[in-house]
Amino acid sequence: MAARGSKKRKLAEEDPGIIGAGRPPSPPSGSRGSADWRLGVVVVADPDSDQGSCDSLLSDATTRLTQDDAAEAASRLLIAVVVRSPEALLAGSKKRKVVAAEEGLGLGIIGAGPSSSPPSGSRDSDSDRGSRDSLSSLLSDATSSFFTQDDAVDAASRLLTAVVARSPEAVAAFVGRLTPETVLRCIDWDLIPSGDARKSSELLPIGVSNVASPSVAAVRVRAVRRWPLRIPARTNREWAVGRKAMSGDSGASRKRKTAPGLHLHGSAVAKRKIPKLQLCNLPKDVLCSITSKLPLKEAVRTSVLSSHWKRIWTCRANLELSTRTVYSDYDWERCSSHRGFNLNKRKFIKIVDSVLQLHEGAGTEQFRIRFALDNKNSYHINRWVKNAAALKTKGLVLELYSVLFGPRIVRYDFPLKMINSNLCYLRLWFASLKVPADSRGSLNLTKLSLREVDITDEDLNQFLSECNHLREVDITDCRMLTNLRVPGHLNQLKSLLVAICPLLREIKLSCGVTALDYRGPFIPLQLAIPSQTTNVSISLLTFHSALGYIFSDLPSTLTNLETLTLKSKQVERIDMLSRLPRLISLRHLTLGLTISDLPQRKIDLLDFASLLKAAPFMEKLELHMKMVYVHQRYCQDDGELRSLPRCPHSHLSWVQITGFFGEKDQLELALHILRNATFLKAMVIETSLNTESESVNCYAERLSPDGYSVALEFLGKEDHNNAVHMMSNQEASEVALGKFSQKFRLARGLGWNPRLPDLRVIRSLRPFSPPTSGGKARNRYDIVPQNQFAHTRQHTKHHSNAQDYCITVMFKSRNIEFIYFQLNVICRNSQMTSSCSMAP
Amino acid sequence: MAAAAAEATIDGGGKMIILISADGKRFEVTEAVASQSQLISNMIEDDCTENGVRLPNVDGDILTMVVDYCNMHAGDAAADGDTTKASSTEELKKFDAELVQALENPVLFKLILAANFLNIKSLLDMTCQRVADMMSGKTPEQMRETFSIENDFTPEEEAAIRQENAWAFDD
Repeated sequence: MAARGSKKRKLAEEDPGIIGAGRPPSPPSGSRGSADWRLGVVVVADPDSDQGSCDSLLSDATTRLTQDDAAEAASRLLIAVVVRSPEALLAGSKKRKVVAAEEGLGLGIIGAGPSSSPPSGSRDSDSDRGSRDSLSSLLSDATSSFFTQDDAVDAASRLLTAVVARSPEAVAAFVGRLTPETVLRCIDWDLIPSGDARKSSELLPIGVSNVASPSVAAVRVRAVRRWPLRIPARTNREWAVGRKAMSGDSGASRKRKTAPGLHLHGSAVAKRKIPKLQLCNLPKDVLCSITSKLPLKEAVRTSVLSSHWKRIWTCRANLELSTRTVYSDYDWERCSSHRGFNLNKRKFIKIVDSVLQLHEGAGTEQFRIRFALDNKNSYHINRWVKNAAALKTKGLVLELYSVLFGPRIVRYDFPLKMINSNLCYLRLWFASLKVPADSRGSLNLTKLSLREVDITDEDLNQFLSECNHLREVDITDCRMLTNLRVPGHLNQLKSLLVAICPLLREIKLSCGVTALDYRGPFIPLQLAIPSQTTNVSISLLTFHSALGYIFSDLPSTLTNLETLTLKSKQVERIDMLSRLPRLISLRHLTLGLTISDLPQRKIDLLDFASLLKAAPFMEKLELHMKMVYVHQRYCQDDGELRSLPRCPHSHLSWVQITGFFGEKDQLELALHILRNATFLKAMVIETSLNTESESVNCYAERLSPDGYSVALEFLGKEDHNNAVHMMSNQEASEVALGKFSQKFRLARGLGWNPRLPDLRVIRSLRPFSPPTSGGKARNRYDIVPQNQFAHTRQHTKHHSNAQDYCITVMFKSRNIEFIYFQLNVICRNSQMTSSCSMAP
Repeated sequence: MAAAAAEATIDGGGKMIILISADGKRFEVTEAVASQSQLISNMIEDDCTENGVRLPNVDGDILTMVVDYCNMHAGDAAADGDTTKASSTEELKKFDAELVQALENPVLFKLILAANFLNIKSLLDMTCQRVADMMSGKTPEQMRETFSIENDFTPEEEAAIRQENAWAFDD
């Protein structure tokens, strides 16, 4: 059994030689090639058929070969032998023992595999030596004029016979355990001219079908994909050299060790030293992926490098056409005027057309347009959508917007009928969407994102019901929606985001969504029973008590809720202690509280202590507080600190409180958590506001060190586990600065290039009133170092729906000690532009 | 059997795989490390790796780099932390940067070819990104110089191409 096993292994090594070398004889033309190739494998796969029939098959095969084919086949064969075992060649040439050339060839191939690996003991030493000797003689034969075309035909036929005759069992055993992967690996694609390679890789699975594993199809795909990159241009040239050597060399070379052509190829391949590998030698698909990583403009510029590069850029996977990718400095400058903008628009349309016209990549990943276009340009946009569909685009992103408002601006009417089944991702801004009554009802969309899209309840409902594979849905600022119903058959839906739909009255989910994110005024949520939703994030833009929401408005079907994020504005204290819900799955609770019950404070933050009871398995609690009144530090005059009855919580391990100003109820709540959370590992107290929240509204002047001193004074005493970490203003502003400069880097990455002087400390963060909508233009200035506040470039830009932050920043510079700036960071959909002006 | 089986040693549950470079150098790596190459992963699946995996178009010195890279990045793939170090993301980034930063062009291209052949997507991405970074911000003339690209266009042809994509050249 052991011997058998080792033999098998040995054959596995050996037989790639057969396949590798035997493979090339398939002539490059049509079905005859396939027949021959299949013949080789079929014959060896059937060892029990008698020798005679094998012979007849072989002779049949060879007589159908033309002489040219045969000659070429034989020469390839030789080269294959040499390539597979240059060592054998050398060893053989030392001995110079002349045996019949043709037989030697066959043996040589048998010997090819193992000779490049350590010879094993069980190997027949005679045949080993024979193979080497005969190989050398054959090689000299091959290069001589004695080797005629007839000889080649003869050689080919004998070769196959020899292979089969030598050890049919071995061949059969090998074929039995042969996998397509091995076959592919063993074929030396370098030796097969490119036209042949494609064909043969298609034929291959047929040839090995009797042994094929289920991965044949995959192998075929891989092979077809791989061939262009492994067939270097040198192949044909070297063939020519080899052939020339074969036919043209004189008879005197009979005793030469190796033919010049063969030598050239053999050494080239053996050492695998391609002289001075250059960028152009890389396969085309690699060059494509390199240019895909360049910005579009730079990628297009590579077209003038050389003729090889001319079309490389046209197969990039992502086509991104926006002001950022196509505008030149000049375009930016003129876009502030109406006329200039119109010129830019015309230019943009022309560019998109030209890029789409040149683009070649079928199966484009994403086609993205981001420009101020409306229905007046629908003729062009329709054409692009059609083109994108023809390119089998997987992602279509139409980020349209308008710089003007008014009844004359009509949103682009998106032609739903033009999208096809290739489309997986659709993102649509500033458009209107009508679902035809007779729509086909099967789209493969997995991601859908609508923003500022006019779509009615009925249309959206029908559209959603047509997309069975939806996984992510994002509906933002769709002002026609009143009722959102997500049909039950969308069972793959993982995440749903609904934001700022002012007329929306109700959301009804009939399917299980894992993550639900709602931003807008308070509306009832209806969820399927039992709900699989684990993540819920709710930002209430209307005044609503957070505790009231958790205790009475959160759907009771949320039994699996693990992460809850709730942001709301508090105006009044509600009496919610009547019934406590049990949030038994809740692990992570984040509360963003804006407390604005002016003029008199009614809210008692100590009420939030009841959350410890309601969520007994909570591990992480974040409290981000914000108070829109002048707060007061706790002092003795405020009365004794209250304390609630003890309720130990054994899971809470991490607490973060931001906006800790040292107010009495804040302190009481913090103390309550500190006393009852028995497994508390860390409690982070920050006097600054949470800068990660969407709306950064910080009250700089009110950021007093009070919170810090209160926390130090009172919390320190109770901190038995050494869990409390306090962040002073200074530290907090450092952190904020870090985040701020991160945002700046982001802005810079997106094309804006501010040259900031040294940024030292963020002194204050103040709220900025959102711009009144109506198209008021704002100037944008860049910051120039050394405090030369020149208006280097002015861009008039309008941002509807932009979330505007105004951050007052203190810059420290060389000449002047402190200068206050107001930095208006305008965030719009992840693209950030910034403007800067001097503060009074 | 014994001789053949010696190559495929079982080591603490993690099977070892031998990679053999074009110049015959042998590298022993765990299956988890090698599986980062889609090519080898497929071969492991098809169970044809026990005699070592010959990589006829990857040089020894290139394969050394590839194996180093795979060893560093095997963190997630390997369940048992026996042979792999738990490397932090930062360390990995530093390692990656150092790996490609100092390379001469031909070596970098060979590394790309190897990554492409072995089908290691992250390595291919990283090396391609490196080349893209080198191209970025350069004029066509500078690119030609950096990468020894021979301009085989006549001045008229080049002007025609520039005209065709005029918008990309107007800065």
